Amino acid sequence: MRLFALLIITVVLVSGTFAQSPLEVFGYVQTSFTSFQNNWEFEAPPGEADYRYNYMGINQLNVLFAKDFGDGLSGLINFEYINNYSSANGFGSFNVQEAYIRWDYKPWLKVKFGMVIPQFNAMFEIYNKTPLLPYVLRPKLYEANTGNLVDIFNILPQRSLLHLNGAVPVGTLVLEYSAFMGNPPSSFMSSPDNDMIPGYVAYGQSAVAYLSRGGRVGFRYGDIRAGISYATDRANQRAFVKDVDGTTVDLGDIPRAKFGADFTASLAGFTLTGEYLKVSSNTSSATDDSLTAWNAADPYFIGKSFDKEFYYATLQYNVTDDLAVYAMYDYLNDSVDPFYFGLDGYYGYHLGAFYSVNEAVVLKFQFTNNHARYDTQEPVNPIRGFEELQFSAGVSYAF
Amino acid sequence: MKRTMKLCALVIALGAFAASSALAQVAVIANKDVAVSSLDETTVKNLYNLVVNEVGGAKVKLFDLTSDTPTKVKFFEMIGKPGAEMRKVWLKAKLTGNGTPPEGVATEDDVVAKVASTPGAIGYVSKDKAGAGVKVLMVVN
Repeated sequence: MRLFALLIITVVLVSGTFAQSPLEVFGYVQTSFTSFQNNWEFEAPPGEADYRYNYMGINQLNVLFAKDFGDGLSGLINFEYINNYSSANGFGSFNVQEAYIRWDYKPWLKVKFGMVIPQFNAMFEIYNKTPLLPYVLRPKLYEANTGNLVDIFNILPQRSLLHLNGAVPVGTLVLEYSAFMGNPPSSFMSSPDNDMIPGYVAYGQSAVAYLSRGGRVGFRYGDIRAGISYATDRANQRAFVKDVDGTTVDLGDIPRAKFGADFTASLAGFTLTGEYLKVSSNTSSATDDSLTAWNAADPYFIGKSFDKEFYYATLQYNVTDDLAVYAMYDYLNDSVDPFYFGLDGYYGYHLGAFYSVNEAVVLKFQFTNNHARYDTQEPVNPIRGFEELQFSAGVSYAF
Repeated sequence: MKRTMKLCALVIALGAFAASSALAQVAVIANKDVAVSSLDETTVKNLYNLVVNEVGGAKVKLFDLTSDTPTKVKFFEMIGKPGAEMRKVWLKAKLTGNGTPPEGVATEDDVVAKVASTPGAIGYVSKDKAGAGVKVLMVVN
């Protein structure tokens, strides 16, 4: 009898749980092959070389879990594995990309709370959602392979904790907005390599009081979408490396503003997409003077400002509903880091094509030609050009 | 006699044209509890682009045909995006957690049955399929 009662209670509880919509599991993968080669103008400076290599594997693998709880509440968790992730071999990385609960009050007010990729410019929200993108190798800032050059959260906002967004139709025009706040950049988060307040702040948690903030306003009108974005945070320069010997100085926490603009328009089979991002740092005159002096001592290693800039433009032509070709130009520069970004930044020309086999599978091809120019401080031909050639083929699929 | 033949041919041709026009019309249908009696083109576009998810202050559930039938092609012509592009909009909404894509249904009869039985449901079928169990909010000519 007791067993029977327990069984009934269990059935009632379970059926109550499943009165909500079932858990949805879905995701996407991009697998690709790339043939890489780089060439130095004249000859490679000491410590550098001309390389040629091929690589293939899983660039991106995301598994998402979504659940509709009813009453306008839903949840989403997004696990990300990049660059052939293997904990056994130390390859790539795994992280919780997003995990939030969402409340849809009205189309003009949707609230997300948790870990959210914010709506900042058009691309950030989908930068790693490869089935939505035509590229094998994404515009530089968003490409996982460029992650060793610059931390994207130094140019884009950190993932937000509280995110509001909405859309307001006004006739045939749709106004859009987002507003968000979240953690400071990762350099303020306590970690084994950066134990900011030992004994007080657990690894993975912020060790400063302030929060990053930002938002976007924009519109859609037919096939035109445009917007401007703004975010503010600080850069942790408490242990700034000022020379090639690794000497560090404390420049404090430098306030900075991140400006963005995005634009997409389609007409007669052509789609033009572009984004611009600029990070402007509010440094003291003493810091500016120090940077100038360090730059004079070693212009190959250190730049004169903390400003950063990124933009890209893609012109796509839809040959058919399923087949498209595109040309893209992209540019990325972190002025304080000429060791990587050279005298004029790191920029590239890309030609590509993609074919949608069906709604889930996209075949992609891309040719990339990247450039930079460096002051090598060699006695002969000190200014040398650097070129990369990459041929890529890949497939993205959603499941 | 010749005159009568010509007249008959003309009548047949006109009849065929009228029939094909009627077949070509697509009806946007809704469950009878949906609080509005008509929708304009902009609202339907905003619904299927997942810009809005409510009509008359109440949330709606959208249905879509899974195969590219003439009805679907004509409906998405009105929306202004071919099916492949529309699927990308829906996939983006799903992957970013910003909206719920329409539920795919195999046949127009199934769309009518689903819309008739689901509160707040909206779908599209050829006009001659829209039966008494649903209400027509808009006709795409």
